Amino acid sequence: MNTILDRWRTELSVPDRPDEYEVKRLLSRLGLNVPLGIRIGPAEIDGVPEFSGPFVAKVCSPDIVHKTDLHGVHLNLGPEELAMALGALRDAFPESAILVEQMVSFDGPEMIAGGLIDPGFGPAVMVGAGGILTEIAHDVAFRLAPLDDAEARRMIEELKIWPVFEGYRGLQLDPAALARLIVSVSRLVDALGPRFDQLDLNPIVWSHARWMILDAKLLLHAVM
Amino acid sequence: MTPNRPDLKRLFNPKAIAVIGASNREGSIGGIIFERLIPSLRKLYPVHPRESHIMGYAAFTEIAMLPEGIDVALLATGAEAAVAAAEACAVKKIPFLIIVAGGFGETGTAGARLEARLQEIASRFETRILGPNSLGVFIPGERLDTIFVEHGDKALGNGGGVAFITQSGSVGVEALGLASNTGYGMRAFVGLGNKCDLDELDFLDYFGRDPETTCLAFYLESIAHGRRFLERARQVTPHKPVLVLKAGRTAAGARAVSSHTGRLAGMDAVVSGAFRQYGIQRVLDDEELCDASKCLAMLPPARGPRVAVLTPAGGFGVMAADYIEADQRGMPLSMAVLAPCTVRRIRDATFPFAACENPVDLTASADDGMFGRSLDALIEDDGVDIIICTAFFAPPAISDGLIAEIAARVPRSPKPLITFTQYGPFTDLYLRRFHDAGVVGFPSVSRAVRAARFLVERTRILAALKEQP
Repeated sequence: MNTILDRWRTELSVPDRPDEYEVKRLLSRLGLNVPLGIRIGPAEIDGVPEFSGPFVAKVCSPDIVHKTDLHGVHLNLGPEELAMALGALRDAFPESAILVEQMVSFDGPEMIAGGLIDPGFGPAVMVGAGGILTEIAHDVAFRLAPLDDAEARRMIEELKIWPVFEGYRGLQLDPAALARLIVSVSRLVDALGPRFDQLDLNPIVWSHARWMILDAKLLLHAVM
Repeated sequence: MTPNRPDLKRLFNPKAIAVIGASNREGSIGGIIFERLIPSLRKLYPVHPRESHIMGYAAFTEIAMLPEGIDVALLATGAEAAVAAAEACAVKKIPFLIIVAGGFGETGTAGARLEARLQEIASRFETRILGPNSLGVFIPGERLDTIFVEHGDKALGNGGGVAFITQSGSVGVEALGLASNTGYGMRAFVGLGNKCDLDELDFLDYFGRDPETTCLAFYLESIAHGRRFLERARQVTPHKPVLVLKAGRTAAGARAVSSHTGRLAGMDAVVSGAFRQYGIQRVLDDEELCDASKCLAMLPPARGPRVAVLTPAGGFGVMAADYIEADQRGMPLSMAVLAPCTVRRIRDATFPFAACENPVDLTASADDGMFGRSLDALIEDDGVDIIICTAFFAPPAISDGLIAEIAARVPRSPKPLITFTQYGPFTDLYLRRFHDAGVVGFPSVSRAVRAARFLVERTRILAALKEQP
């Protein structure tokens, strides 16, 4: 884990301020699933993805917190629409990179997982009902990091939406795999130590029999 | 290097106690405390600069003149004087000081400086300090009581299994009053005060190991060493329940937070999650703290969530069923489905017209014995995990003998039996009589059902702890 983290940190374009693409690369190296994607820098010529569409194009910058609110996210794009979306993003965010990803189809609810530092107890992790309504639904469970599979499983069972993991409307979601994802998150939070500030993985969706992280944000403290 | 730490046993069972600031003056705190200590039958040594005797006990003008072998010194002076007295007691090698005086960290920077001096004394000498700003201790079993304000001490005098550790004196004594109304078994009360030295960790360890303690209840506004408290609590929770009322939100809400995770944690949800993870049961107010500790200290864990309700009044049976089926505290309960033979046994023991499905309504014609025989049937029904028994004394055929009738079932029942009673202005009196007979009772349907949830929560915690490596 530490070797992966150290190497990853040296690769960041801005020290200690990873963008979404970089966070997802880290998650991928830790064995978590993220969509196929390429990052196109502000000065680069528009690349053509090697994967097939439909595509997602979004502004990719550690400075922009609410991409959707600023019209920084374009979904469900064919090849021509992708070119237009890239143009629009270039105009709106001339200083920023763009992340082009393969659009992912999924079943069931959007979930959220994350991490934070509690002032009294230290590093903690969360799982809950995700998506843009997550703070309204407020259906979340917390535990301290690190934790084991059984404890992560109990977090999921504590949620109001737990019945969707028990075959609700024929859904075949795998809670054990989601529990393993939470455990990975808790290990990451723990391994980052004093560098860690906040982590959001939202949404996380069940796509082709695996949990896929569609958006990720990681805030670090600069530690000398 | 940390000096040797004396065993807390001497604090809770002292042979000799000095009271600095003891006084003959009517209404002085030092005087009240001294008077309260007289029934403890310990050796008492008042310290007063001028008086030769305090309430008939020979007084000492200076701490230095006290004899050897004193276990505890109570400091009931002003803040400045208490610091000087604390140092003199430490030099005298008195192992435990209870500093009642306020005027320390809680009042501002000048007070905080005085408190830092106490801290320094505790670290330099082999003396441990409880407080300052502490009500001290109340150990009913030892007749030891330093609390100088009204706190239902007579009703709590028989002792019991709960160690009650509180950071706030006021919440502590009010909770004691509340608990004493309905009967409560107390092993020890500890007022932590400002926690300049001894804190919740010390008492968690001590009462966690104490064979007479069956349940630990904490009121805390801050937890000094968060992780360590949790980790040590997990050493205790497999053996006895640990309850915490953690007041005050964490600072997480106030910090600049730019993630969903951080904002969702704002309302101290992390504390609740962490408590669950380490087997601690969280409660949200003083009534919950008292009710939960009362039932967890006295009753066996529930095997499951299925509740049977026995009542002489249909309306209360229906209310209980509604509370049971409502999803509260994330701890679901369900109405037990009674076995056909249970229904038959109850009908044979009562009336052909009694409603013998759950809730079992014996009607207002029932007598004491019918309650007893119906309880026997419910206790022996494998489909029942918890029994809630409504005990009303107004029906004509019911006598005070109902208390003994129910109490006789408690030691025989492997499943928890909770009583709900109300009887106009006599409610608390009857609840205390139940308590003295070993029966856990509450004065409302909702509190009785909530008590069942605390028991089911405890069962779940034990199951989760077993899964852990």
